[in-house]
Amino acid sequence: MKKWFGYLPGVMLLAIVGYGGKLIEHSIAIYGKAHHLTLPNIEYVLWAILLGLLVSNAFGDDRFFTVFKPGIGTYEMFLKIGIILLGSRFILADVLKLGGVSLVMVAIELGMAIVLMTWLGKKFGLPPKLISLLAVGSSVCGVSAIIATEGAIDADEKDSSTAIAVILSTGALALFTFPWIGHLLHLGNSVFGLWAGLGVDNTAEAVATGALYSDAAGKIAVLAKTARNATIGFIVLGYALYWAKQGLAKEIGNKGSFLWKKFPKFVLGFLAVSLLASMGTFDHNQLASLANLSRWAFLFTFAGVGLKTNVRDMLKQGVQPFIVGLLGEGVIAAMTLGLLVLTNKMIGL
Amino acid sequence: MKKAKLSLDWWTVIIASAIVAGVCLYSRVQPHFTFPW
Repeated sequence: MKKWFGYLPGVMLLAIVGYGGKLIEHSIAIYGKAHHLTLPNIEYVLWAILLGLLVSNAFGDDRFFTVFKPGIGTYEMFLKIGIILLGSRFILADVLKLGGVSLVMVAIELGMAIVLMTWLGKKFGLPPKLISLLAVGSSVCGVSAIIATEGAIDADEKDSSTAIAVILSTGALALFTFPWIGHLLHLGNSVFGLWAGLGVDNTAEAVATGALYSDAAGKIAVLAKTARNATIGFIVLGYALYWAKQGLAKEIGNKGSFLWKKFPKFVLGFLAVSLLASMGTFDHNQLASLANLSRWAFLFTFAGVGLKTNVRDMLKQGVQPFIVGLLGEGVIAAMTLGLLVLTNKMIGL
Repeated sequence: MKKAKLSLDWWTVIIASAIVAGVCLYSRVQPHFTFPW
């Protein structure tokens, strides 16, 4: 029971920061209307992240802030709950079509990430296992993939925290650059949503990037990212087998149970809810309620994205891994966008 | 005997399922209710 109370301050902070973001958006809209001003419509997503960033970077290193940390960590749980509930907005045919496109792209992206990150990592003299972690993080799904791989290839904890810092900082950068590029190129919601889901590595940042563009793009970003997350077990298994063959990680026993253990179970929840929605189980009001509950869960997530990003912690990791991450991610994002635009022209997304 | 422990991933699925079930059950009592945003 005491353990549960430990989460309470951080969860409350997530709620306050998230709701604060929503209030700012609302207040600006009301002020503009009352004074007949055309103010830029900045979404609550960005306000929640910015407020979180402000709080975390102003007080993150203070002793009293440690009381909030366990609860802030629950933002990932809210993210997964939000994704499962969002399954109600997809019919299974869309999931299969866009999920299929995403899986093909993930395969291409994985090849690109491994070749590029390995080449760049060697050029910059990074340790081999850090290169593996960066390749996994940039091809599959950011932080969870890095944590899963760290154990499977017996990587150093320092390598793993560096890889996580690189993935999180490139994700933070994507939050601001992707929507800007999307508007500059007049990308449609489907292409942008797929790009955010495939090009931004950590799930929370990918969802936020999509939502910053539009509601529809956010929805598609969630689908693309979920398909990408589903491949995590295969990629981790591949790397674990490679390092075991080199004699630098333990052997894998039962590959089937390894895959199942690493499979993100929330993907099953998302598919189940989508199946129920496709069968017409939910009426109009139930669908609206589920969509709104999913938005509330994401609001907590966006607050968490800001609250767990501490710029000073990231700078402690050294410059070289960041240069490799930035260069690698930049090229992968550009190539993914090129492929998506081409696919859109060929088959229509 | 070692007690089987559910992972956080499974807990997330259980909580989300409970929310879906809750929405469906509550709409039987209040058919026009929509959770606000």
